[in-house]
Amino acid sequence: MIDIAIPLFLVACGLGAILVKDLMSAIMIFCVYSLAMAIEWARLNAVDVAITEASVGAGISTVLFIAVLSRVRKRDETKRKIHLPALVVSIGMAAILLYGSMDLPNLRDPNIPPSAHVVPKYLADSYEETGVVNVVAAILASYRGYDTLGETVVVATAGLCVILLLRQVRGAARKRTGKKDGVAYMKKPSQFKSNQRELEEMMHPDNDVIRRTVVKFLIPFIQLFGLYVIAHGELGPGGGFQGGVILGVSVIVYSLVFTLKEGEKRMSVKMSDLLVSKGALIYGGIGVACLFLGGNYLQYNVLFGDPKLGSHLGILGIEIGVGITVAAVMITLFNETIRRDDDND
Amino acid sequence: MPNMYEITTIILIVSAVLVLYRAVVGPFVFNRIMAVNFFGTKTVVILLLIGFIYGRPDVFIDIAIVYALINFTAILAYLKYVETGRLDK
Amino acid sequence: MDIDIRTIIAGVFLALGCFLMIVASIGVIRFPDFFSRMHAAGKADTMGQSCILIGLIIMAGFSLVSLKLFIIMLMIYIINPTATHFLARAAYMKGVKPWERGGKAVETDPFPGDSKEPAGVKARAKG
Repeated sequence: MIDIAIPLFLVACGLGAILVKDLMSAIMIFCVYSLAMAIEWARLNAVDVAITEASVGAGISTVLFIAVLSRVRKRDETKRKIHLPALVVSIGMAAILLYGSMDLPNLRDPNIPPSAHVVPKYLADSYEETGVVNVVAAILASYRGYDTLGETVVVATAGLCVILLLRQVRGAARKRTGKKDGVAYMKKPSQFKSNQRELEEMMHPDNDVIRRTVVKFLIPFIQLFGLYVIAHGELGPGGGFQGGVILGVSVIVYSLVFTLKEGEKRMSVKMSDLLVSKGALIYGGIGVACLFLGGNYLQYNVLFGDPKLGSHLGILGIEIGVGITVAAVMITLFNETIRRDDDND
Repeated sequence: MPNMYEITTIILIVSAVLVLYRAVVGPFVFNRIMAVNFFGTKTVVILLLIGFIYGRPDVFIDIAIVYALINFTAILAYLKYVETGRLDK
Repeated sequence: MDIDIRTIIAGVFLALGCFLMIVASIGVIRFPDFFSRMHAAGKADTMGQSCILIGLIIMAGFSLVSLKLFIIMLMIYIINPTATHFLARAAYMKGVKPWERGGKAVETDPFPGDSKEPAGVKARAKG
């Protein structure tokens, strides 16, 4: 019964998120969707996916959505008209995809090629060949190391594009209009114009002491846990992506509670810009090191005298690289989205 | 016969779904935030219980810790947005 | 039946936790205004969660698992009341009116743009 209930609930959440007019409610529905999705992944015993859904789906994307929401209009005011050609194209596309998926083998059949050849090999040999207990980590970091390198470079490129676009637009518009903040964001919703004194009183450190104390207390735990997830990816669920997101969240929560200015004192713009590319560089550099030591690109077992230890260290190294890139990109996305220059200085 | 973890999980799911009534009906944003927070804290415990049902709690605990920490961050961001309408100050 | 005393104690804790959780969600649905709902969502929920966690700790025995469960319990004790505090504070600052005995269960919307409900917001926030 629960196998039917959770997917139905997920469909309901998806429809609700599309149909609701208030964007804040849509974000909340999306958050609940992620939570239910994680329960479903956990029920399917897919722990690596569940931890990714936890850190990326429910956590960072909610925070980033709110960051975007703070720069745009609060309600979705587009008129809903059915655009006939678009409807025809999308229904046709869906029909073609469904038709194509009919030729896919039945996933429950034990004789299909993936189940017959690849999966048993991974399950049987991955520990011998890579020295990593968690099969998912072995596949991601070792067997499919090139794919993961590609993903890391894509994430880093996305971060660099955000830096280029947002900073470029801001700088150019400032020059053109003479205004301080040039980003094309919508007007502040009128209901947020609470009077200035009330706002200052609300944000006064004396009134905010619980939040500041608790967050100060929690941030070391969040960071320690992020490092644990990165390093522990070989044994349990997690790895560079998830741990990187958690590390990024620890800096984001600091900027949320103490202002962005304070946050950038701890993690400067220059530093996070550098780290965006350094993580990918570490990943690629380990590959090059393997080449120099006489192996193939990303063939970790030549890194050290003992092949198993070598591949162990190589995988740890690339997880650290992935983690650094992802954390820096998340911090950059958040900071660049929420920054307003109007009365910052 | 279902064991006690399964019974507890089902009761928790029922109580979480009950609270979603508040998230749907509202009547305004704070009630919704409260319901989402409630749902999130339930999820932490449900994940732990699923871990015990499958007999590998050591793996599921990590996910639960991630949830507990990250749900808190999301609630902070919601409230900051609702209080001030911006996140950078 | 091979039910030992440890299982019974853990079961009692789990049952207590379930009871508190159900009570909390009924409270969230039934209470008349936002602040009394916070009361249910904040306290009963924290207590219910920690009861369930205590039950699981008893079942896990003395191991790394129970240590981590204990850490989760500590985090819940810190995080839940803090989140409740922020939520109540933000709502009060935005002028959500507490319900009074004998009064109708009228809920004022702090953001009148959101719905058609009457807006009695700013007056409360100033006073």
